Amino acid sequence: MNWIVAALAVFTAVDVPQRIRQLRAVPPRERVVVAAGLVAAALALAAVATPLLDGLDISSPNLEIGAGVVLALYSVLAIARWDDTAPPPSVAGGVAPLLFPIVLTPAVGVVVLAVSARNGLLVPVIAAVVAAVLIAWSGADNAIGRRPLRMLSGAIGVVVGIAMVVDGAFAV
Amino acid sequence: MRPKLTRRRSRRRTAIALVGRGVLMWGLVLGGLRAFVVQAEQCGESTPESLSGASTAAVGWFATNQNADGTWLYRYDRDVEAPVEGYNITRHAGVTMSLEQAASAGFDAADAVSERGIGWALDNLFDGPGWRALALPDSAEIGSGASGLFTAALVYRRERTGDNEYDAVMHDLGAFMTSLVNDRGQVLGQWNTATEAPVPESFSKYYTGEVFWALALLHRAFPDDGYGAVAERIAHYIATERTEVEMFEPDLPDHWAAYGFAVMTTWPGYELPAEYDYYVRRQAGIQGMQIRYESQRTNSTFSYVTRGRQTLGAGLGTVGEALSQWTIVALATPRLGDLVAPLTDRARCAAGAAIDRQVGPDDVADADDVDAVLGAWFQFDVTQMDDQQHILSALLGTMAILEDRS
Repeated sequence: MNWIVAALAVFTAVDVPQRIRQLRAVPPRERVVVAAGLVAAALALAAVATPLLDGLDISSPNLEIGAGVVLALYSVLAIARWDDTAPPPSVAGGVAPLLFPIVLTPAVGVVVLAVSARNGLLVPVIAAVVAAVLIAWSGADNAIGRRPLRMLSGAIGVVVGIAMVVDGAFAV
Repeated sequence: MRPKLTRRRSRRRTAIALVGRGVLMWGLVLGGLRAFVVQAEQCGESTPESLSGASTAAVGWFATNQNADGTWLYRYDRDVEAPVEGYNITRHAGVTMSLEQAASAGFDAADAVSERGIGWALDNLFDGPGWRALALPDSAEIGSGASGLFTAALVYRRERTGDNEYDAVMHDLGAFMTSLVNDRGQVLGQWNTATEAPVPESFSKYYTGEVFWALALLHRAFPDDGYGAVAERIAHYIATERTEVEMFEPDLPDHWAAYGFAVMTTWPGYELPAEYDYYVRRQAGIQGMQIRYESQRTNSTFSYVTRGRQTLGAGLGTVGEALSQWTIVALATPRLGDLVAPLTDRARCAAGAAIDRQVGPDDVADADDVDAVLGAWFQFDVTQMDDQQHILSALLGTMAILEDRS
């Protein structure tokens, strides 16, 4: 998988504009917890991707197809929907429900696993770090947490998801 | 004012409800993916021992089911315990070639079986103008593929034994095949015995690759006799033009072409042109996709509904053959080095799946004719001799690349 496609897949799966909007009223300390949790989860998923796939008898191109399908479907919903409500008060310093399940969606998990199995640990983790920095930085709220940007992210996600399906299908 | 403790509990309940929904969503997505998109790939165990055992059993099937005249049991219906009528001369040549590959790989039992097959083929050579071709008597049209596969068998035999007894036959077959290749590198599939001329536009899905492979082998055996230039012409056509000219989209999965390119990489000093890389990568991808899909089929009801029935032995075998031959190409071409590991994995998967699906001693029922079923591959209770041929060649190809990489 091309590394640009791989990075875009992770970034669009995180759905940064929507997450920033949802977390706009969350205390900065909890946003940092969420951002750190996202990076830690990406790192953990990337580390276990290959042994996990081996254990489940799944080849990395086949998971790329599956992740592409999930990303494309998720991105279609992202284009059509916009959640402007603030999340309920968090527990455990923001781990629930901010990190899980609001930020760590199945799309993020499957895409990070697929990208790691195909491209190694670096690309998905760097993409997750970039997304995490934007989520943690409250200065990005007004600039990025907007619906048009979510629609753009969703459109990119649809294209990247389809590209992943095709790339996975024709990979060895 | 609500007590502090109650507020905390309420906050926890809301957060936990969201977490619960999140867990459910993760479960649905992961479960759905596993059930419908990424089912387990059943690749079996392709160890040197299991590969050798399955190959020995396949050779044994040909030895047991060879007729006195050198032909083999063509097709057998396990359900009614009877042979099915018919014979195919191209497949006869293919089986002979596969047995020569086995004999070359050290399966000595294949030697005598192949010799009898060669004997039958030599009795069925058509004398044309300046050439000979493998054809059944009274054929209206003579296909080029049978001669290609028979030539491959004879070249393997010559390389294995050092015996040049059939050199003249090989040159005659080579002359027939060469006469069917045009300047562009296209291979005509048929020669008409009534008009005594090639049939125009008679391009075949598989004969092109078979002739290409045979001519590549002839060049290896007789490097000064001009076969190499013709083979290179066909290679260029296959790699750069055929997909569009003959309208194969996204491309024709061609295991015979894979053999041809693999042989070319054994020519002294030959380097695969960079302009062929796209074709090689596309072929490797198509074959990889096929085995990744096929290996998910188990013939259980759910698998049947979501993936379809398991393919026939020849289908699985040709995928395995192609994967092992493209691995050889990648091993010899540094630019394609990134393909070696995944191609090897897929070739092993095809071989492992084939081993799992072969009829072993424990799979033979009391009502079965042991001779006709042991060592064979069945679909709908029917086996055809090329089921055994293609899988035997795939197993041998996988053994070769595993030895090469160890």
